[in-house]
Amino acid sequence: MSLIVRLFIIVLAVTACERDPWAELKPHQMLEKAEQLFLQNDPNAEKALRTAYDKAIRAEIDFVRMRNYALPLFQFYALRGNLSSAEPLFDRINRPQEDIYVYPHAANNLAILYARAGRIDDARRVMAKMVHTFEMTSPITNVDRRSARMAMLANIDRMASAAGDAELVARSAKGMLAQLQDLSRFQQSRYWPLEPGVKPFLERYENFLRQQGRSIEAEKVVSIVELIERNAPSDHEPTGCITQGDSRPAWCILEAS
Amino acid sequence: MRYINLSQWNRVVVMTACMVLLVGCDWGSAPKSYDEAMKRANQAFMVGDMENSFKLCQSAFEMADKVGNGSRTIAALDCLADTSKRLGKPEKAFPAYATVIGTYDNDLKVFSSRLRLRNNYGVALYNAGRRQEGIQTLEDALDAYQGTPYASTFYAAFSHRMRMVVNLAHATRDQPNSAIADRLAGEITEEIKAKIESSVNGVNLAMNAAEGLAAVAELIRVRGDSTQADELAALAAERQKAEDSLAAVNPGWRRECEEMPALGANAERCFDKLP
Repeated sequence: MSLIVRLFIIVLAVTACERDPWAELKPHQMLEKAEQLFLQNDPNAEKALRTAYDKAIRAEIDFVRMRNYALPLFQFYALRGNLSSAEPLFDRINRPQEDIYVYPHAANNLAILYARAGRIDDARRVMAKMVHTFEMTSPITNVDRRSARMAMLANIDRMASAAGDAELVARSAKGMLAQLQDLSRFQQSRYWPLEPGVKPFLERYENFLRQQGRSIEAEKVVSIVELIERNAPSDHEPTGCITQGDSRPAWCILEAS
Repeated sequence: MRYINLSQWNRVVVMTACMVLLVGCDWGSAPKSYDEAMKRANQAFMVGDMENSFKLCQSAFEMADKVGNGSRTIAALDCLADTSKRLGKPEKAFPAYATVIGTYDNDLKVFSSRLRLRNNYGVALYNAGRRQEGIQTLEDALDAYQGTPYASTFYAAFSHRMRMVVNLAHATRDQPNSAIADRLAGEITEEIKAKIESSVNGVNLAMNAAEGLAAVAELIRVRGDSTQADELAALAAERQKAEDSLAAVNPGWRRECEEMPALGANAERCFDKLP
């Protein structure tokens, strides 16, 4: 037996003996580890999130809990613009047969990826269900979820305008302004600045409205934001993503371009 | 070389065949999936075959734990804890209890059995002679999920916590100056009194407060403060009347057992008590 073959066998044996550090972790323990890596932008985050997801599939975790595994992995790909990897995970988060989206922020991100990829019909389908979700569900009481809903409606307005869908534009713009008004009323009653990233987002939305020749709506946005800012000025924080109820990246909302 | 004669060969062949058949039958009867194990465990339970039911629950538990399915692991624990108790061997469930509380607590909290299982583990440890572990487990159960609705408003959480207060008060009668006895006589007594006060018009929100307070009053008497014991006992007796009139209308408010409809009309899983 030649030396090379012997060396090859030794390397093979050593590799086989190397223990997988994640092998003993239960799915939920793996998920905890993976979410930490995701938060730290660790290069092993994708592998860890995928491992947690695969372990959960093998464990036949029920659908409701399965969402906890699918969502961060979906978001990992969505935030990196990877539609082909994100898309198959979406139905594990929002059940297709459900009338509304339970996690609309994931739908927002999928619609944006579709629009970027030129899959306009798919984007419109998702956006229409998002608007339906917002119309059918009661107002959100949690402040950052109010911001998230408002931002998602603004995104739909921008994408539906680009797609020339007048009906979706009208419904989303109406919903967006109502949500902004609601946010303003809530924030007027106490010292509560806009969430990080919301003010610059609204400035970009206002510019979009002006470019569209919708100056009346743009003025409404400006006046409501001024009202909130007079009461509680926003901190000059770097622009972060707007999140739905949680600062983890699994809850981050993409912005329509 | 020693030769085996034909009759010896025959014996060997027959014995081997029997062993193959026996092992084969055993393999054939081993459940292949979690669902099958639980289904057969329920069937065995319903015909009163607790030994087999326990084995099948254990098998379901191992399958679920191996892949890390928390919900299934907890359901299997509930099953094997119940059957082991009915077999008179509750200690057989100890490793499974420890696994669930140590590894799947986040899953456990959403189960209606979350406090019952923790309570019963503590009681079983105590009864098995592991008294300090039992008391610690009961105290941990009393503190579990604090700050969340799982310990306050969801599914009779307060009422269930009072059952643990009673068990702890009974378990510490012979160590009335221990840290947990101090806690029962101080912090926990104040908590019960505050709850009674805040639920004057909603007795259902604080069911079993009377029983909890009465048990603590007796502990305080053992500690030597008969004045405070008398005051608390009087408050408990007054509260008991309100609880009794509510329970007369709706006995469900005081239920200490969960029905298990899939296991038959009389199958229940209850909060265990220390004498």
